[in-house]
Amino acid sequence: MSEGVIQNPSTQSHTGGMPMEPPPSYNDAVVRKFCVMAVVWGIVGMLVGVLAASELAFPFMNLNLPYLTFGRIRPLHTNAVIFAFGGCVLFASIYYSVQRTSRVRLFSDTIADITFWGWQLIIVLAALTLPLGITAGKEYAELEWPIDVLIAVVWVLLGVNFFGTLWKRKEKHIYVGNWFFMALIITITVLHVFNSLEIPVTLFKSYSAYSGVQDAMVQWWYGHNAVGFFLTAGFLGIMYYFLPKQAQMPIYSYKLSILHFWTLIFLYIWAGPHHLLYTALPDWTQTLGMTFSVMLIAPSWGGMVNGLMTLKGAWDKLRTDPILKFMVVAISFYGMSTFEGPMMAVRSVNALSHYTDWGIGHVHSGALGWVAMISIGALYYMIPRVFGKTGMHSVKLINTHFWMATIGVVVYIVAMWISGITQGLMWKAVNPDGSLTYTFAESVAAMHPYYVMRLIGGLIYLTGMLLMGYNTIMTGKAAERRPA
Amino acid sequence: MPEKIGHPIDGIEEYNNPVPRWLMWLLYFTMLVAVVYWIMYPGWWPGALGWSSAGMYREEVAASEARYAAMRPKKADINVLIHDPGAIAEGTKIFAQNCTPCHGAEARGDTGIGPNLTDKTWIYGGKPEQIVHTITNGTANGMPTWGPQLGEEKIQKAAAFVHSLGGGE
Repeated sequence: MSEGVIQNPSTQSHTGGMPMEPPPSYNDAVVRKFCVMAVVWGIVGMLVGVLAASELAFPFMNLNLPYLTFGRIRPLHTNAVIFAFGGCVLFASIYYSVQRTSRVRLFSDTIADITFWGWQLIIVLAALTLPLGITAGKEYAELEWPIDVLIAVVWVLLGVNFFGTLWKRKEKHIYVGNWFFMALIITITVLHVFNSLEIPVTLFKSYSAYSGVQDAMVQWWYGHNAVGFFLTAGFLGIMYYFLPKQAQMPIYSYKLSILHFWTLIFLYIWAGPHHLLYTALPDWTQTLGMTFSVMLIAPSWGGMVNGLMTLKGAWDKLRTDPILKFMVVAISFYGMSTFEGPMMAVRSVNALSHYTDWGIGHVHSGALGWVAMISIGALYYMIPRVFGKTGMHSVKLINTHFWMATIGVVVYIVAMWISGITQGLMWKAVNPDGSLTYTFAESVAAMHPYYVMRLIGGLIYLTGMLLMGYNTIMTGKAAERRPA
Repeated sequence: MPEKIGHPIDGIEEYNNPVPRWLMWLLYFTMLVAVVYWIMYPGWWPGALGWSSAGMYREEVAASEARYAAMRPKKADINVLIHDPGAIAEGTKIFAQNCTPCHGAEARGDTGIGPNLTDKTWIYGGKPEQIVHTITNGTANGMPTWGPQLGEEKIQKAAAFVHSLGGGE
């Protein structure tokens, strides 16, 4: 197989005994728009992340401007990478794959365009309000109430378009990737609406409908399941479509996909309280969160096993296909962070790890290692196809991007493991007379070398994304057309 | 070749391989861990161990009381402590941990919240006893009362440090 170059559809042998019919015309225009914006927001979001990292290593990097202080830049970074980059990847992948796995065009092209422009408007509003200090103050749900309303509308429209397409599908079965997208769309709607219930005071200020520990519990029910359903279920849906397509291998086990889908979504929704161990949250609720987190290991690994076993007998393709490399490393990071997470949710481990950089390292092994890598793989798969090209402009650049991403994420998480554990130990150290050995400022100073190291890791990862931007532009501009 | 499910969807086929046994055992094992934990700890019922996070806190406090009470120096005289470099050094740390947010890292009042403690002006008096009194009880101008939080010993050391900053005497 020639590397990275799209196979002529006629060489893909599966017609499955179906009567030949003219290939349906798919709406790839909206997919193209979402793909391009995914690359753009990926670069922007990671650039803001690098700025935030540089401020922690070198505080003068905030230029003494209120708009660039860490407290405002950090939510801008998280919103940009999760909802702008990750969101655009999900929209693109959902619209691309649901048409092909249903063998029909999207339910509505108009709704598709409304979701595109609506989502971009939300992103621009976020990029304006967060640096101005307009925030609801809830982690990963900082956007103020008018934007919350807009998100709900656009998200429900995505649901209408997705379920509408499934409704008129010409395949008897709903493909496994689409189960995960269903879970994503339904659960995120519920999470977003209930966590964002708030009382508006002005156009730019609202107060949460909940108070005290109940507010914290609702927040982390949302926060943890944003990870579980947005960043896990959604991207597992991506894996289930793009991995077998790219590898041209059958899914390893249908049985396993059913089992790990239902166990994953049933168990995930209870795990939120592990973010509130040793707080005012009642002990029994904390226990619930911890134990459900531990039980999540096997269901999470079900996705990893099904992904990796799908490549059984096709491992040689990894030598030549950098897109597949992205996907395999993504699945490996997925397996690692879904083991690390439950361990950190254990009360006694959490006593050391909570509030330290270990949490930041954990999040980034999931975000940069799993979510971004599987996204990048899916984007490299889709971009030439939706531009009607025979392949990406440069396969060599994809390969370089792969190595930069892998090295970048490893440097990042190793830095955070060391600094996180060092912090935890420094905070707990006491002198023989029982007084604290270190002041908090001393622990901050001790972090400096690791913060510089994290900045370097982030810069390497960002540089890889810039290569992707260049590769995307050159692919779009290329004159060659894909044979019809 | 393992059995396949249905017909290919968009060219993707699905085997119906059994779920790897080790993965099922992992699931059962974690479920067992959860059930054992539920029996031992508060969750569905108060738990066989009688553990609670509030109880854990009380035990740890009691343990450190028992351990460190004997080491605690007898009630010191602030007028002796101001000449004790060790006490002043400890006071420096106590100051760094508690007082710098308002009085600034250098105690010069750079933050604009608390006043400069290194100059010759003593708003509430610069005698050692007066400094102890100010820290313990706070001021009407917004300085909080530190008595309950820091305790007499730490306040005396912090006062010795503040006194050593030199203003006045």
